[in-house]
Amino acid sequence: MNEDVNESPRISPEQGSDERTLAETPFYILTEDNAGVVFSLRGDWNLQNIAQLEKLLSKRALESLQYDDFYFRCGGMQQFDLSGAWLLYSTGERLRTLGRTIHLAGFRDEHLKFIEDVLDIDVSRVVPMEPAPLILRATEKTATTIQDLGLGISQRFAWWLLVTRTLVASAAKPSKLRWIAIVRHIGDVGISAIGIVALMTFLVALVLGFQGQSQLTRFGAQIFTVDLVSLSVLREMGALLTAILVAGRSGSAFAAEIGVMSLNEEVDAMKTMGVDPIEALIIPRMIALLIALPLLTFIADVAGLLGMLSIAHFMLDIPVSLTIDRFLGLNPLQHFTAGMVKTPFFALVIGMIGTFRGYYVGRSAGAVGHNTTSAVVESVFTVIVVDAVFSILFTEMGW
Amino acid sequence: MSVPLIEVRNLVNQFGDQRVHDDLNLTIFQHEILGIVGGSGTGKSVLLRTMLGLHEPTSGVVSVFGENVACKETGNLGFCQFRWGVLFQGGALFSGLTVLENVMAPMLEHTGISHEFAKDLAQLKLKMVGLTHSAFNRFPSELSGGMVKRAALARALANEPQLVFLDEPTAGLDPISAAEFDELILYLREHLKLTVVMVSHDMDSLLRICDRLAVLLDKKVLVDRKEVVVEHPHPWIREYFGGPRGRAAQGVS
Repeated sequence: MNEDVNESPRISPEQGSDERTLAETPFYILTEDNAGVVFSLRGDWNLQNIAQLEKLLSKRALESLQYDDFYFRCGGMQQFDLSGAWLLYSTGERLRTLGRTIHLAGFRDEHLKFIEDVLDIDVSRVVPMEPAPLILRATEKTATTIQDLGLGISQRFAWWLLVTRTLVASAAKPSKLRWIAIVRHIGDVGISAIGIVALMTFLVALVLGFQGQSQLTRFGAQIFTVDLVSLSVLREMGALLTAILVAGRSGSAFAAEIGVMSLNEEVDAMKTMGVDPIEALIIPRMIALLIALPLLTFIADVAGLLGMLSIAHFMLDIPVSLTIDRFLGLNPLQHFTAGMVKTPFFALVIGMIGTFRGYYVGRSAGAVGHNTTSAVVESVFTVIVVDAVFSILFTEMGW
Repeated sequence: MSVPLIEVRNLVNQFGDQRVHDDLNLTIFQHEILGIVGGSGTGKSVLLRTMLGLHEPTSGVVSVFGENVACKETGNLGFCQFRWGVLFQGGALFSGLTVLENVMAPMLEHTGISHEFAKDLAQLKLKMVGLTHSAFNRFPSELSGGMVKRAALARALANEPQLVFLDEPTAGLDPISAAEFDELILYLREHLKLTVVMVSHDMDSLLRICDRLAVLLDKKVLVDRKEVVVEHPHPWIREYFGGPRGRAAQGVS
């Protein structure tokens, strides 16, 4: 505010010649006399004004260190709340540590009571921890990261073990499986994803065929576009794209659903009822994925091959019968199997990671979001790693 | 007990066919502690939410600090939101922030104070409600039920409110903690000049700290000094305060 407006020293006539006004602000009038410096407090000392007050008061107090005695006189304050009292107290304390004497005068009972209350409550300041040397901090950080990593790996390993065991146990007794839940999850994971999966692989096959034919035409080998697209779709694209899409759709959904349930103590409630949450929550999702993902991949393959047919027919003017002959000559069943074999593993990876991330969620809303993100990133990454491993394996086997 | 802080006039709340409040009138005065009681489904929460501007009533006027909150979009109540504090039943502490940050959050949001000063003030408030240093840097999930209530009360007091709404402040606390919490509310009312509106089923707590009781009955409200309400002949009140629990709380054998 306009602290400087009345800054010029002037003799106030009614106060006698030994008292000078130094400054006026909406919150105090500052005067000096023989005894020391006097803050006559006025206005609203409340939280609304506290930011302004803090600046005005602490600046002024530190500029007045030539005085030994500080008087704080209550001169018609309208509002004085805890934040105002604290400001006064903390400013006083600061001056006191600098060897100045503080006097309070003219406070009405309620105000004094307030300050007493504030003084009564011992707010020992939190002493900021001295930062450790950089090298120490770096080592410590590395150590905890490695420890966390180790913990994470062992936890995941235990999860895989636990879920696999329960999965095998329930597969042995199919009558005890929760078929209603499984069917519902198949709907969520599989049926509602059919459209997007089919469209995506169809388009990818189109793009692949388009790019491929522009290169192959230069060698007069347009017909090989059929080989290129069919092999890519059957061996890689169908399975991989479907898995990535399902990881994004359902992996995240699993993590969020189960995460909120454990946050809500629903998982604990199940345990106390003697219901195994792994069996009730995790297994139906795993089985649904194991059923739905291969079927989705099959649909993706068909859509991809249709894309290949369209490119061959409409762009390369290869008759459909010729394309089909060419395709059948490629031993498509072997390539289809090579792609299909991978899908249960993809399903396991997506399911395990998604449910793990949900089951071991922290206890805050942020943790659910974080874990959902991690579930997607982790499962997409792992799916690609698994795919790479299979590629190497198949090449070695000469498939 | 002179200046009215909250005035509810001709309030009607209807959900589908079900009318929860019908022409309800209630005045809450400055510096009093008013307890709202009523059976399940009588609309205690709806009344509270209406006063907070979280629920738009079917018709009627609800003015808080002289401002009609009944027909405003939430978030448009800046004036009120600076002058009231709310303790939600479950605490509603922000789970991603520590206790200290929870109390600092409303201060930093509404005033331009420095981070340091906000931290000091937040610590002061937390001490005031009886929490110790060891709790300040913990997350809400690491606190006990009583500590959550205290931390939430400190957050409700963050902006130096004149009016505090407490939704079941002692629910889920052990009797000793609940009694301590009652004393805390009385202490704060005395020193911070608060007006307190509380919804509670805790008979001890109601009779210990409230000046007046508002009983939701037959879609209306019956409000009077607690001594008078307790003796009221209405069958529900007879059963409520005359039942074994009510008699025990009143010290009647």
